[in-house]
Amino acid sequence: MNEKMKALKAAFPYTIPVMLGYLFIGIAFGVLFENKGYNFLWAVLMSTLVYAGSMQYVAVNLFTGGISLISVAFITFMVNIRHVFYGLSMVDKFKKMGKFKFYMIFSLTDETYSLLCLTDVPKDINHNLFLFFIAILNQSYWIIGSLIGSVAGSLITFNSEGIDFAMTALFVVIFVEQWLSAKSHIPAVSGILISLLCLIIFGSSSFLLPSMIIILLVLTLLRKKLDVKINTEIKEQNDEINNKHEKKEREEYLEC
Amino acid sequence: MLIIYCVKNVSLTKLPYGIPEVISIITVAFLHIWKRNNLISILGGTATYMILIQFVF
Repeated sequence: MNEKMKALKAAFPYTIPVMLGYLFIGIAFGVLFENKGYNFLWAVLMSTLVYAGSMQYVAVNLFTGGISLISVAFITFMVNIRHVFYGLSMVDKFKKMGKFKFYMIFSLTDETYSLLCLTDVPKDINHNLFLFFIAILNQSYWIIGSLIGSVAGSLITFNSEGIDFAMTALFVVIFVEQWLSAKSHIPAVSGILISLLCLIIFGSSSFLLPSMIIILLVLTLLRKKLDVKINTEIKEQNDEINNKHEKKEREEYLEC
Repeated sequence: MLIIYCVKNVSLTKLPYGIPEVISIITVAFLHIWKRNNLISILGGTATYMILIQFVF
């Protein structure tokens, strides 16, 4: 018991930034879900069992839009495909975790993953318990957030028309973040262009699947080009640095 | 990058010519570039959108 409390106390401070984010986005999800006619039990159940962040937002629209289960599965797979890589890089860590292993695999999110990667476990703390508490604390924030949101959504009777935009805003934020940090903007631009094109061709109810397939194809084809481009950019930067060095050396030489 | 076409699904199934969506998306992007804070961007953008759609359009 003591050991558990100690691990919990050690893990909690690391999760505070995640708490702020998850509570807020969870609340927004709860309000949205409530507005579509699902009560708070559904929100809590979904946040407990599905626990998929942005995909939960998308899923709300998929439920109400009456899209086939196969499409839902495919879209979910595409949106969350990055988890394959998260999982792979965590294999060694999770292997030793015994009974916690399955929960850890289930509860791996972007934020939990970065916490697990970045934080060093304090020396006198049980390693497995520490990681487990990080994961479960993060999920509890998400569940509490969606509970608060859906209860608030049913109690407050203000005109909440337009609250759906929280989802769009979330995606715009992710997009801007990608744009600012990515080296090449070709994938981002092609993503927008292809999906717009498919929207015009296939119509709003069925454009998701074709555009995903085309985006994947285009990006795979472009991959070699992108790699080359990034390499040449790096080369150019190196050349520039070398040039500067040479210049400096020459100047120093001349000064002597 | 794969996620943005979900945005298109929402923002283009519209009636009032998508003007509130465009304004709000620009607001979100601007707030995010300026502050780099997820909460401010999402809150600000959603508030902008709700005000626009309820009072202006």
